[in-house]
Amino acid sequence: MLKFIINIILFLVFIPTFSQEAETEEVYKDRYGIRFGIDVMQPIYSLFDDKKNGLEIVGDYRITKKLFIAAELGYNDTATYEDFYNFRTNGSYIKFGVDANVYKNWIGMENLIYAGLRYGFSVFDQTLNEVQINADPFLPPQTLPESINYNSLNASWVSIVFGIKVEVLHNVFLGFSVSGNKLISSKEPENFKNLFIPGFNKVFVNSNGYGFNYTITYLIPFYKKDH
Amino acid sequence: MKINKNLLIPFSIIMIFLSCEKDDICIEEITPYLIIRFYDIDSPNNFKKVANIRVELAGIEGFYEDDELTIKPLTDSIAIPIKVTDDITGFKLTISELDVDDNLIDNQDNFELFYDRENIYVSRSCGYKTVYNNVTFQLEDDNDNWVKEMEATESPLNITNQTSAHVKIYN
Repeated sequence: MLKFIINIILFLVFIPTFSQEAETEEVYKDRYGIRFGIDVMQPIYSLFDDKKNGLEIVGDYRITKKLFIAAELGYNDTATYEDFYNFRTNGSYIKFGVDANVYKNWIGMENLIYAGLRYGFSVFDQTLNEVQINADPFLPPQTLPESINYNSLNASWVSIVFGIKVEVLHNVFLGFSVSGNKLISSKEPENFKNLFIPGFNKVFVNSNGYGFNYTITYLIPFYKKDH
Repeated sequence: MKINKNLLIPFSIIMIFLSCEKDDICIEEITPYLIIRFYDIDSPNNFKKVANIRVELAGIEGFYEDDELTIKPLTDSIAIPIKVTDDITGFKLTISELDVDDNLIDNQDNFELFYDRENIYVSRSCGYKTVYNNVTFQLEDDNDNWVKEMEATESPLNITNQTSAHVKIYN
């Protein structure tokens, strides 16, 4: 009887030893997936300034630890007022390219500070209004009565982009970026000029331009890979 | 926080390269003026200054003045604006000259300018200018013209810029 009790006690003492597992090391794995969202700067701008309207959808897809394929797609309808005329530009655009993350995240974080390149293309219309001929003020002024429509114009450009994306909630990112644009080609209207291009924004004399972007995006992770 | 330092120099170079050029001041040539040079009828290759010239345009009140840039007490050339609202402009040029009794009197001569207008885009801040093509003119004979002869400097005459005179007046 005593032998039985001692065996039971010994058995019970050793059970915890047998059930104790070897501790495995937790390895962090990078999440790969698609992130998409919208630019919120345009809609908010439109509330205060009815001369500008537009919407831009943004997205990116991770291909390596540091590289993402990125794209922006949008439309824009903007009225520009100059001293001697005004015009309205409306059309849509697409930009795509690559972003490279140069920020070394702490383990578990997925923020980005990135530099990227884009190729952009836009198809748009221009409407030229209220042209007043620029001549000596002694003369009676001449304002051209009719508006002129220029349809199916297009343009293409390259951009360099710098930006940040910060994960503020699980899978939700806030982003801000700045882009410098350089026009490559454009179909110009006759006896006028593309002074504004959707996606490129104001065209300066040397065919350069810039843009801002403030985005909210959501990440849908597909798989994980070793860090 | 660690950022790749290798990016800093390329970033700065690229930002300088991509700087945007300001274009909000109109510096290009806009609608050109009619440039008239005065020559001596007795010696056609020489300039002859006119005294106290006053310029009026038909249908517009007041004398045209340009702060003595060309319209001066004694001048051998003037630059005057041409209407952009019509294809005809009437000009009235009045000068002071001495009559037979050596009194200073005014003498007004009129002529009309006929042309085809063309509107051309210049730049963002300048907008559009008008140039005048196929310009012809008709001098009014009032039996006392101080303008003896009018001649275009080229044929056909197109007034598109300010580089040289468009019309010669012999007086």
